[in-house]
Amino acid sequence: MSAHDADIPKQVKAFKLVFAALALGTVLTVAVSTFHLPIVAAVVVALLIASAKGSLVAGWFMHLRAEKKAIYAVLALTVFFFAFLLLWPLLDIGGGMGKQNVMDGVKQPWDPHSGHGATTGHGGAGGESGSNQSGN
Amino acid sequence: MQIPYTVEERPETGLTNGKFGIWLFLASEVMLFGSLFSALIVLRMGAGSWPHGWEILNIPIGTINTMVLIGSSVTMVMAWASLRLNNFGAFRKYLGSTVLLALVFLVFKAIEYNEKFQHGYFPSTHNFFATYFTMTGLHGLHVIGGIIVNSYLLFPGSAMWKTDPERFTNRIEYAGLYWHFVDLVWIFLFPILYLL
Repeated sequence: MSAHDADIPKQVKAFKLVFAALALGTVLTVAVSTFHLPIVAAVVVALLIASAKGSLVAGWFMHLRAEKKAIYAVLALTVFFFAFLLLWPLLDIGGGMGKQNVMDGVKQPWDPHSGHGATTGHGGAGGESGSNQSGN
Repeated sequence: MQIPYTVEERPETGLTNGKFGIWLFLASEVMLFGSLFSALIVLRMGAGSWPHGWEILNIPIGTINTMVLIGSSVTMVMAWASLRLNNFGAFRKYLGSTVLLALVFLVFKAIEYNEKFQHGYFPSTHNFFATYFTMTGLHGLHVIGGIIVNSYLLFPGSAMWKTDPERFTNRIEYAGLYWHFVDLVWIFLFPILYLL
């Protein structure tokens, strides 16, 4: 066992702690979702918990806590283009904000209130229907 | 002719070629799933109505599957750690558990899909289901890919442990990086599709 490998037993302990934290994070995510927060708050909380869990996986399991510069450079470039990919469409959506949505008031096939939708064992699919929810 | 930089690090990057290669591949995967997340944002923000995931999808199955995938990530990293500690027996136990947990994930996913089809929900039903089936389906294909690679490394591929243990350990690390990425994607998919 090399000097570098001598560190492995410590890492194994850390892996178990990370697993406990990830399980706790999952329970927390589900628990928070039962409060049915307003959509913006729900998205923020869900993404914050998911990001914390993702950081644990990337940092410990994928060893990103201590990696070579070449990998950080690749990831920095990826993050830039990923952010661009997510934000670019928002410019187009922003241009249409405040305008009448063509789907407002149109009955959806999955909506049980429309009279021709299927029902589920999970309470149906009411969803954010109606014109006041079109921006969500 | 020997393949260069499989064990020793390349001077320019300080990495083995395999490790740099798998990270470049994962970067492309980020963009692939990123495009789907981007499409989901556009569709949801532009929709006149959009169902809540918690009303339609099966939260208990989704939660169990999240735990299963997290568990498989732990067994994967433990498989790598076992090789670093020269414990091949433990490696087989952990990698076998990883494959088994991945299969459990797919079984639950199949049950969930079947439930949706039974209720008459298909990708054509609504954009919500189109994105749900596309994103979870693509993720499921990645899980199947991981099962194939890990099964190879568990059985015929593990012969390399006797001839070139360091190179084999590196292979397990690369397979692990891919598997953790699959877990990472699900960590974001679960709340976005099921809980919002």
